[in-house]
Amino acid sequence: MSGTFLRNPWVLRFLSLAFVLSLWQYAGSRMNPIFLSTPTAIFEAGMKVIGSGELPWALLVSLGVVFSGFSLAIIVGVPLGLLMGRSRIAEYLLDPYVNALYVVPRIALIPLIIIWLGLGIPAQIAVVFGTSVFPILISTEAGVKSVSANLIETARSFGAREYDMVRKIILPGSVPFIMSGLRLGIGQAIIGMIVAQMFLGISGMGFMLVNYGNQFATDYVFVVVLALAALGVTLTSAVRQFEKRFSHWRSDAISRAP
Amino acid sequence: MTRLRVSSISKQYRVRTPTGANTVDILRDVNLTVGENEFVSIVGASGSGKTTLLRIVAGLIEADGGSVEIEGQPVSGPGPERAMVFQSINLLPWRNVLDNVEFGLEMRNIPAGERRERALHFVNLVGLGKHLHAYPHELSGGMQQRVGIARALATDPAILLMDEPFGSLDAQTAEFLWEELSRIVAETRKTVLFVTHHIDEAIYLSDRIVVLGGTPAGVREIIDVDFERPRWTYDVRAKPRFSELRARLREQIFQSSGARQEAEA
Repeated sequence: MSGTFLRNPWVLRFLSLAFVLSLWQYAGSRMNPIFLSTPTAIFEAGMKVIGSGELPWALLVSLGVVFSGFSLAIIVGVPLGLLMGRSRIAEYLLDPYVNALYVVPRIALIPLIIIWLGLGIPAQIAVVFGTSVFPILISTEAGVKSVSANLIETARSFGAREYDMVRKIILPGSVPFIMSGLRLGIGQAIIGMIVAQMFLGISGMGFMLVNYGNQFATDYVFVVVLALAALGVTLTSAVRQFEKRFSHWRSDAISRAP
Repeated sequence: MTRLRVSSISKQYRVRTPTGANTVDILRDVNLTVGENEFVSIVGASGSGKTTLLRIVAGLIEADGGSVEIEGQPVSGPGPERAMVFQSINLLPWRNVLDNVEFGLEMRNIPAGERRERALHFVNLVGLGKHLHAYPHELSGGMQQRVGIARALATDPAILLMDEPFGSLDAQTAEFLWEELSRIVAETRKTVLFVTHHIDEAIYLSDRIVVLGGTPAGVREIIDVDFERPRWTYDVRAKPRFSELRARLREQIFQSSGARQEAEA
């Protein structure tokens, strides 16, 4: 009886959390609050920033930035990936830039983005775009190249022209890869958003993080970190749901794509 | 009337060797005709260029010499007068049965309503009326190939090209589909050019059998198969004439000693 109870994963997770939180509460309340803070102080700080509207507003701004930058990355990354996967000429014309930009940490471009776009929302969107476009583009290109040569030949035998080929064979055939590109891209987009708001924001969650950090308000910093974790989990699982819906025709689609 | 005329087709392939590129003759001076409503099979040992010849007729690869004419018109590249059924079947895995059968019709810009109607007709004809909305991974290999046949028939081609369509299926399913294919071809009055390495299959299905052989390959013999149709009403293979034909075909196919050694190894 107690044996099966103790093997339930949720019971184990709860016990583990309860143990760590109690330990944290005990240790934190015997130290300088700047160093570790305590779960109860973090909870109180959380209620305050939610009540004042500061956290919901920052969350909204951050979500808006992620959404805009990520949408732009899809709009640019998928067609470019299709083009580069389909045309050798396009591939050789574009791959020097794609490869160079992909290996440079996009954070290194922030000074340039500040020069071009200043400090503010457009600059933040640009950073999110820059971090998330590459996984999407590169996965799409790989997806195009993974489409079975047999299917391409079959379509050709039925008289498919390039437009039909892309729309009816290449695009649906690369969907599993595009979807895993989106999944990798959304994680990058969240990182880009935080970094951008830490460097060039006067709003959003990245700014809250820097602001409270500078004030040594450790409990508030933890609130933002927890909110970011929740945001990350929500967005990633939303993309996963989206991925499943488009891969129903292939039970092994998700495990096959990178 | 002649549906298909293949005249002096030749084909070479480039192969890489340690000392550079080399060209190898695959087909030389191949001639054959397929009449209206005729079922013609091409047989030959592995590597005799059967599939290459069919792919040239389909317009999927170009010949180095000679011409292909459909109803008197020379053709190059794929065209609506021909439809192909592949050994690897090649259904679109993200489309259900009906949508797969509609694919060829979409390429011809046929309006959606008519597409659906024709697809339904041919899916029923191949006996998959109960699986209209199934996806390929939910179907057995034999059922998938029925969809492949329906997809090709739906475009109403002047000639149906079949490249070892039952080669990837188990023997029982394949034999069952011989009968089905005979019935479908009789009902739709189609002209068929059929590639196979299976001698019994060729005899059961064909009006004439073209044997390819030699290096480079040419037409070695053309054999008439004169069993009465429909052939599923009696046991064709029990006839003494069947054994004669089979022996003769074996003799022709395995004429070169290399092919015989390979086949017997």
